[in-house]
Amino acid sequence: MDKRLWFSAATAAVGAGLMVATAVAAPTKASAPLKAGKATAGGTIVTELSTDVDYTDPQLTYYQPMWELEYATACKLMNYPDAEAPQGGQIQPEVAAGLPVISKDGKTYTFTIKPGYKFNTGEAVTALSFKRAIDRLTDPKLASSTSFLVSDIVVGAQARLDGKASSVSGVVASGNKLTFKLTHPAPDLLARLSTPPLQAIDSKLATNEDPQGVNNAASCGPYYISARTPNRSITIKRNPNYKGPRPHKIDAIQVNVGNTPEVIFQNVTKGTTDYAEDGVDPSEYAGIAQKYGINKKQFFTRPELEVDYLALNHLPGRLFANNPSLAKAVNYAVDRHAYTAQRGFLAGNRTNRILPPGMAGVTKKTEILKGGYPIAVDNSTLSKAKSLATGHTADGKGLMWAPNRGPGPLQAQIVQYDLKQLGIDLQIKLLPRAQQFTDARVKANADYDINWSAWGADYNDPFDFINILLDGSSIADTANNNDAYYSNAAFTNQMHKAALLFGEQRDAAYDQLDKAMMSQDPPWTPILNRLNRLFVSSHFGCFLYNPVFEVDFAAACRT
Amino acid sequence: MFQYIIRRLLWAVVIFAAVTVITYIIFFVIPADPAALAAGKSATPEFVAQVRHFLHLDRSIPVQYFYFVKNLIVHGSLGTSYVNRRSVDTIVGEAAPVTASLVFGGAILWLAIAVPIGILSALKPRSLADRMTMVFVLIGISLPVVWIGLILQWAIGFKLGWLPNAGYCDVINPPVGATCGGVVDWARHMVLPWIVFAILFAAIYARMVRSNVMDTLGEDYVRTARAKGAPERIVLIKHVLRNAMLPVVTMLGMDIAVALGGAIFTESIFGLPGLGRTAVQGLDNFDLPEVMGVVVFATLCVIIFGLLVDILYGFIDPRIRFE
Amino acid sequence: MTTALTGAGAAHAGPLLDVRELRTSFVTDDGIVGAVDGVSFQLGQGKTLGIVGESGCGKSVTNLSIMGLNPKTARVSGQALFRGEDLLKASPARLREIRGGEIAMIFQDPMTSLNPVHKIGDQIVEAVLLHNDVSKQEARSRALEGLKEVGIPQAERRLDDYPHQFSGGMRQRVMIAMALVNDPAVLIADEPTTALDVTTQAQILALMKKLQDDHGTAIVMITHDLGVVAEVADDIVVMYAARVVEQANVEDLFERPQHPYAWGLLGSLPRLGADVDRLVQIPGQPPSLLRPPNGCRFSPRCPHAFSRCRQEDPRLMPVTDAPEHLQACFLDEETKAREAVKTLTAAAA
Repeated sequence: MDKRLWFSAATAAVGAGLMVATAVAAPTKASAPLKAGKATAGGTIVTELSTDVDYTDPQLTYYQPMWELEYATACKLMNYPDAEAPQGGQIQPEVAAGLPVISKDGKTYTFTIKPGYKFNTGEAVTALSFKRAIDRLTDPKLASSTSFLVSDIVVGAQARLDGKASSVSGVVASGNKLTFKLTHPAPDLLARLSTPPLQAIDSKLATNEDPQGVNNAASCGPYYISARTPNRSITIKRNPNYKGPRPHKIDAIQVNVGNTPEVIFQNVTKGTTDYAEDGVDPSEYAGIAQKYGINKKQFFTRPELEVDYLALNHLPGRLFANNPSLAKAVNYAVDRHAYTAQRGFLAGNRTNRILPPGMAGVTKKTEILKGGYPIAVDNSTLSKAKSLATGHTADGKGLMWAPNRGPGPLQAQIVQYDLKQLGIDLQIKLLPRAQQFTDARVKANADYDINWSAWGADYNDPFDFINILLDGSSIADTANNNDAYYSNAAFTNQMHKAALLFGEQRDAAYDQLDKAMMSQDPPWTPILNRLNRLFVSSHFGCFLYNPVFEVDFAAACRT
Repeated sequence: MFQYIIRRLLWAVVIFAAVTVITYIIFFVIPADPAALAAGKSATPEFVAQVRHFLHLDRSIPVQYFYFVKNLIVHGSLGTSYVNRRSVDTIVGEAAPVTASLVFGGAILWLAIAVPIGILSALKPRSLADRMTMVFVLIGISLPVVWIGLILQWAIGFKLGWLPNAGYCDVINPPVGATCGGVVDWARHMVLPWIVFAILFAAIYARMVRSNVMDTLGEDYVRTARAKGAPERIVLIKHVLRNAMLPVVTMLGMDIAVALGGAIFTESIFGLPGLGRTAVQGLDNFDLPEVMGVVVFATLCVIIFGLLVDILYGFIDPRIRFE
Repeated sequence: MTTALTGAGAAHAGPLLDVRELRTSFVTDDGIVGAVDGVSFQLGQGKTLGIVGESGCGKSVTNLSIMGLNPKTARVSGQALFRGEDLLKASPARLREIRGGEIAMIFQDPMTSLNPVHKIGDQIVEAVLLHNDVSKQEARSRALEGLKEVGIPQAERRLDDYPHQFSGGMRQRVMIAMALVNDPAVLIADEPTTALDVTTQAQILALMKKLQDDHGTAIVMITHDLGVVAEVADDIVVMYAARVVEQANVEDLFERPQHPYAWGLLGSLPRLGADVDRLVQIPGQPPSLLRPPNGCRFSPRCPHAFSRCRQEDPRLMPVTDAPEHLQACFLDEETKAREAVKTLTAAAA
């Protein structure tokens, strides 16, 4: 019937037209980047987050993008200089007049407070300002997830958390002197003191016990949070009372929340947003690199203090219990290149060691363990792997947990394939990340042989990597960050000893420990260190990336 | 009528209880631990236990449900989020107007499109206009909302820049630091979302209006009206439309009610901070109070709108009124 | 009781309604359907014309064609002269004036012929206001009078009721009131009692007769029920397969039916006291109007059909001694007379 034919023809034509339109839709031609003009003082840098921060309250927030913003707003006893690696990773006193005086037994640290720091409200920063921060951080009414920064080392912190004290007895403020009493020697105290939860807080915030936190507390750094509307925006302005040495070129930082990464990419391309703070869609990076080059104009890559790894479960009854041969075999067999490739363009650098570059003297981005496990897999590495594995594969069956989104499923399949070559049948269980994360930390639930895992540093000290993640003596029933359930008595001893050392000695000891563990009794198969891929607009000038806190807003300027 | 309303309200309570209990059960069947999540990645076991107690997750599930209901009825409160401790009332209260803007504006748009073209098609069946309507209907129903949303957002919002590519502007009280506000900004930002949201419904409703009007045109009383000498205009408006639109009213009420629960795709694509986005966030974070807040609100919308539609129907269709 | 200017009282030479060679065909996907194929009849002032036939014979379409109420797919030819004015050539505006004003129509199913969402008072008022430039109150009082006239009890209150609050018979009365409120010259009633039970049927017919007496309205009564036309009609037109097969005044048709179809109709009437085992049926089905048979359209079912019937189309011819009585059958008059008597006696027995 010609009528029906007409109808079908019309719809087919429309359908074809739509397909042609999609095929022809060219990728965005970005407007030619503005000539890098003279950096002007003042102006606002606009940044966008697709997911809102958890809090803007210094004692509550535990979210990397917020810590990145707080690098511009907080003033702390110790801080990292506004510089790229390696200087940017070297801790320095900020409000502390100098390095602390440490008692012989290593359990008492005394700081002198430099005068002249003021909050945006005008209140002066004193020793008390820091004590208040720690008292507030351990307030049981706040139940802050960052209380771990002091709860295990500062005397009286746990008591306060347990509701048994109204302040932390181990922190004493007297005049311009601030004294810490520790339960045991802990040289990583300095690194902990550089974290945002331990920044100076004013008297108003000190009395606040609202579990929701405060939206715009006063701060003493070059900037302060002037307003926040949850789920919508954060406004950060110049602290008029900041007279310190750190840079502060722009007038304000405007953080807008809620657009999809795709829209944020559009906005940065257009120049209406200056920084895609929690990234754009990963598939865009290849195009961005082609357009702007890498580390030249608007697209930058920097290593993160982070490692993606496969945790090898050492609990009794598991494949890797008392099985260093197999652990080594897996380190030979896993194709790190293929695994990393799943993360996308320039997403990470392969690694075969525990500590990431930028930590404990591991500085060059490609410094992998020389003579360590191969970064590339070929026939010789495979035969090495097989020979190590033979006789150690138990019943030849294993279980791997991986997240069900992102590159997780694909990466799991790569591991499955690689282990098949060793004669191990690896079953994959895909889980929502949140569920995988919490379940792996409960010893009774951790029934995997391999756990897809990743860990980013909370502060720049190898303790936060090795002791937190691999100390067998602190394995409990729940809340285990040691998801390899690794317990090697000798190494546990060594990491306790290393924790007491300072400076270069400390770095060297941890470096050695890393190498030793990996060569003798690998707890993991480390795969890659993530690369931060940063896309900024043509207006974002004076781009500076601090290896610990990432993009430095204080140093930024508008072009 | 009064008795009818009372009966409906009692049913509403039953539905509400069923929906909330089921949500609770589903949530707790998922083996993720919200306390461990809220405690953060470096928490000690003691701290996780503290957080569990802090969030009342150490109570049994029925007890938790009981406190939830008590909180809701006695204090009119939906609790606080596990993730950021904000009052869920506030979270839902902030998100609801955004979703309402999208849904009501979208509804007006889809009716403005669907009703005229549905009527026109019904009056001239098999004409060119009618066939074009049917092509439009087919396209509108077939295009996935996500696809058309992304394409329009990219083409019109970004490439051509005729309209804002994303974001929401408050009509009154824009948040500090907002770069837009007021009715004009709000409307400009809503045009693309309205279009995307309305397309599917416009297509469905156009078809429905067309078929209702065509059916009604064939009714005997329409013939009677013509036999009385009424001009076509009067026949159409007084006799045809009044009857043909009755089913549209029912459908409209339910569609709006369901959409108020969160037009997830449209809100996500255009970065609208509405209930759909809130629900997705809550689910991603295993944040039960936030999820329950949206569920409660959505259920209430469905119940209230259902009741309103029934009452309204009773007013416009006298046959129902006198049951 | 007001008499409209153009009502039944206006004098006119010749029949009130003169339909000549009316042909209506519908264009369908399958072809052209000839629903009315050369129908002619006349309606005198104040008289009642009954049009009888089976469903699908074209009796309703005939009247819809006169009123211009067919769907757009209809092609109408011929003449429908109302007081000398050809309705088939009238402008849409003129037709609208006539409909409901000078010629009113009521339909078969009172359940569905009234708009369920409007009060019946409003619907009658609408009929008044469409044809009279009067105030709403005046229209309402006319509606009230109309309701009283058709015998609706508590008419004042009932004006504000909805159709579903009336019984079937009451609804038909309302329809009649609505049709007669503007004192039309002609009332076309399309199967007005078919959907009603026998008792109500009788009441409605009695009502219509009374109203006709009071207003002098001419009525066209379309029905398949010979019993009904026997009651009310002055003249009868019998239709079969889109054509008129017999036409006579009521006495002549019932005493001397000439066409085999009429014999079948009369024979199939159930009569009280008749001692019959089975009702006489006319075997077979009416023919398709898409592809009507050659020759006499009734021939496939006619027990008296012979070769000429299948080849030639019988035309309407007057009966020898009754020129007003027309019939279309090739049978000779003796046979017809014989069969007529047979039918009537069998029926009367």
